[in-house]
Amino acid sequence: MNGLKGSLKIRREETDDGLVILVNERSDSELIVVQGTYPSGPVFDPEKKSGLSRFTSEMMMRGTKKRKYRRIIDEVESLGAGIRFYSGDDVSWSSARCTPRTFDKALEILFDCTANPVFPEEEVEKVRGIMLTRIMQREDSTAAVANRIAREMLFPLGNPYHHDPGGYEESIAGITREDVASFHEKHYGRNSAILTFSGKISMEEVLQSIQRHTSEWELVEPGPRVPDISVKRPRKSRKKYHKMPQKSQADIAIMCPAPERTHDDHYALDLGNTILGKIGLMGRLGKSIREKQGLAYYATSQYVSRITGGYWIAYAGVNPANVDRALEGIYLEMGKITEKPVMKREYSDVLTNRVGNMALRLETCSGAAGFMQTIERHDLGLDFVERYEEKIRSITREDIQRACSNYIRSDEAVTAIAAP
Amino acid sequence: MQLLSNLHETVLENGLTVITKEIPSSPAISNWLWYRAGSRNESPGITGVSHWVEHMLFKGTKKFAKDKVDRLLSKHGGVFNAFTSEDYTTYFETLPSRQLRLALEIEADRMQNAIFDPKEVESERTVIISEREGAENQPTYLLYEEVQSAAFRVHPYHNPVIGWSNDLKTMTRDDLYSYYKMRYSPDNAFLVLLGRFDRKKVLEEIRDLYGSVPRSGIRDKAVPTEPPQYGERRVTVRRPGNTEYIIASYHVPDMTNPDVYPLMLLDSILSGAKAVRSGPGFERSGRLYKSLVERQLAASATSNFMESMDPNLFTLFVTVRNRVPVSKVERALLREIDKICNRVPRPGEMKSALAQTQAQFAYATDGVTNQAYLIGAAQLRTGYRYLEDLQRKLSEVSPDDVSRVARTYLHEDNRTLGIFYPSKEVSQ
Repeated sequence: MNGLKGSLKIRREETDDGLVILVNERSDSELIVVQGTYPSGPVFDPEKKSGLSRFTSEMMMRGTKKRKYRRIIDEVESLGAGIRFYSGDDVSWSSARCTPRTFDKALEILFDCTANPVFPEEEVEKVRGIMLTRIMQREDSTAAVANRIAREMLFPLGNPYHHDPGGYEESIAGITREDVASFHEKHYGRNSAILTFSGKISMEEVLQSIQRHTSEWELVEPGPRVPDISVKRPRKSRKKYHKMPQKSQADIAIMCPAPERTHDDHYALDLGNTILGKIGLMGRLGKSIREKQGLAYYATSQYVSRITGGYWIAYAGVNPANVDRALEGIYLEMGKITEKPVMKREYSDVLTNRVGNMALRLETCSGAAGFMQTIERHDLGLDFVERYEEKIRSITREDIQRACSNYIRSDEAVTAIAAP
Repeated sequence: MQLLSNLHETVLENGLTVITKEIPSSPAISNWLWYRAGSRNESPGITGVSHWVEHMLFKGTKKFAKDKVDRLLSKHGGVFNAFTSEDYTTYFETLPSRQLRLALEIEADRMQNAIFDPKEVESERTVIISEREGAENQPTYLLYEEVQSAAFRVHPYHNPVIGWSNDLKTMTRDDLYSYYKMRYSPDNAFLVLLGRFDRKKVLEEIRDLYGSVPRSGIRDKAVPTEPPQYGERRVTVRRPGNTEYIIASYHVPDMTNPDVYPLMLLDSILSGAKAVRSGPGFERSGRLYKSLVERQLAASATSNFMESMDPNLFTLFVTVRNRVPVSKVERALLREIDKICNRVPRPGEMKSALAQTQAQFAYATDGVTNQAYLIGAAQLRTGYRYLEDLQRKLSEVSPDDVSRVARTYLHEDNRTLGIFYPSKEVSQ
């Protein structure tokens, strides 16, 4: 046992003022991947300012005290380096890709953007236009609309997860430069950041660069990693249809509340979800909806565990005439996985799948930098990867059944259908 | 250059080319089997056959019953799939290195022994039609399809890879099986294998598994040459939607023409380097972004020089910004093309394009899957050794060359311009 031993060697440092740094050095690599997270995801969007977190991410490279937007982009991209800021659910991200030759310069620009953005008014308007167009595109996609409606149904108005991270036409129209600046000031402090590095770089080189380039990066008032969120379980199932005339395909999204990353049920539910919607070609759902019945090109599921307020989602893209049959098929599979333990063969396959999958994920610098973020954000421990196989092998078939029974419940699920 | 170091090429007696690269530090292997079987090899009535055959290769052989391949690969955490393009169909498995033999066995077996059960063919018909319907939901897909089919009248690049709806409804099991038998043979394929293994041992295994598979002796008919275009073609698509899109496509030569290098740099200057498609995009330093997105005319603006086996298209794609007249954006886009035709790029632009390409070679080494794909794609079009000289050839391109190819190819008479107009029906 333990095919993962030694597959992710991590060094961790925390500066006196709270900046957390994890490095996975790979001497035979030609590149370096940097990722940063900040507790400033869309979950922190004020109620009438949906999309503010994403708006702020879009603004981070659009001018600093030292550089205008154009200079930032030209300096970074003329090196062949790439820097991006974006925002997920709980956290906002920064990332850089560079080579050892361009590392120090790329990091200097990354920190300049993180610490010193000035959010010029004219750039606010440019970003507003881009975000409004993206909203129009989102609302033209059956998959995105089904997903948005399911999310809004599962997390009621007032819950920070209710709104779409991309915002809405009216909320984006109302965001001001001051909103962006104060959101940045509140959340993007060096004491709230986690930085991970994977590739041809040592901890010593990272620390030297950080020391050189972060003197202007200020601290923020310590705050929670996510707002206080209580997700009430739906008392009954609900369904909503959204008509999108002349589309060719219908999209279905079925969502249930699921536990946070550190919950005892996490691993059992992850294994159950893998069997239900992922392993092979989309798990039991793919086998039933696509392979046996030929109803859909995709029918799959995902368990999104977060710091809090996770969810499970099944989705399928089907011909409009097959919506009812596909729904029936998905509900049936949701029921089956809660009724009896998964088959022994499925159980043994899913255990080896997760271990093998982890090994492949850590093979790339991007995968390693991302996984170190997960380890740190959820406090999983630096030896997590080494313990992972043992951990999942301790989960029984009955544990999987119990976890699925708790969360994958068609009697509590919300269902959204966007269809012509 | 790490991407191309330690590559070995072996040709088996039955014509199968095997390209290997040992990477002892990797815990994984990535195995890619490429067939010269894409939409360029299809004929009217059976458009989409390459893609449908690809689906059928997951439906079982005598040795590996339906679902068994998925199960065996998944149980080891493997990443696997297949995809079909204009020029090829490729199957790949990335697995923990201990499972290398499994990947080789699966591909060797389904090269010849896929069953094509008629019931499975019918079940897959609805899946593929559903896949096409999903694509039709996207305005950008509809517009690309329309532009592509208008730009090519004779060459099979006219046809969408997924096939025309009518062909998907009428194609038979025999159509699929004959195509499979004709094109799935060692002399019409090559294998790319990267990761942790012992090359000598692996070659023995490959000989053992593939050696008895006979050549098909396939001799392709010449693919029809697209005649020159003598005037702009314009197409419009009107469907419900919220956003306008513009595509402008120009015919360009194939990869054996020396003009491809200045065309790649032209692409880089317009929207960032893509000669080795790895790592971050560099579109924000490109001219299109500056002139269209930053000036608040567009939400995105990119260019793409299509590398392919036959002459293909150089395409500009713009998402029109909400509430900006599409005609204004079209004029701005074409002005940008005029500029590069009439004024040579600045030295800084040329330097950036080369630095971006150089960095992409480094980014390409992040993981066995990406490397294997890049080597395979290059092998298919020109032979992978083309990548060895790529940077040198790009560095020899002058700013005048870039403007010259812009004038030669990006002119009005060689253009197909498509616009997606959202119609007014409103979602409820």
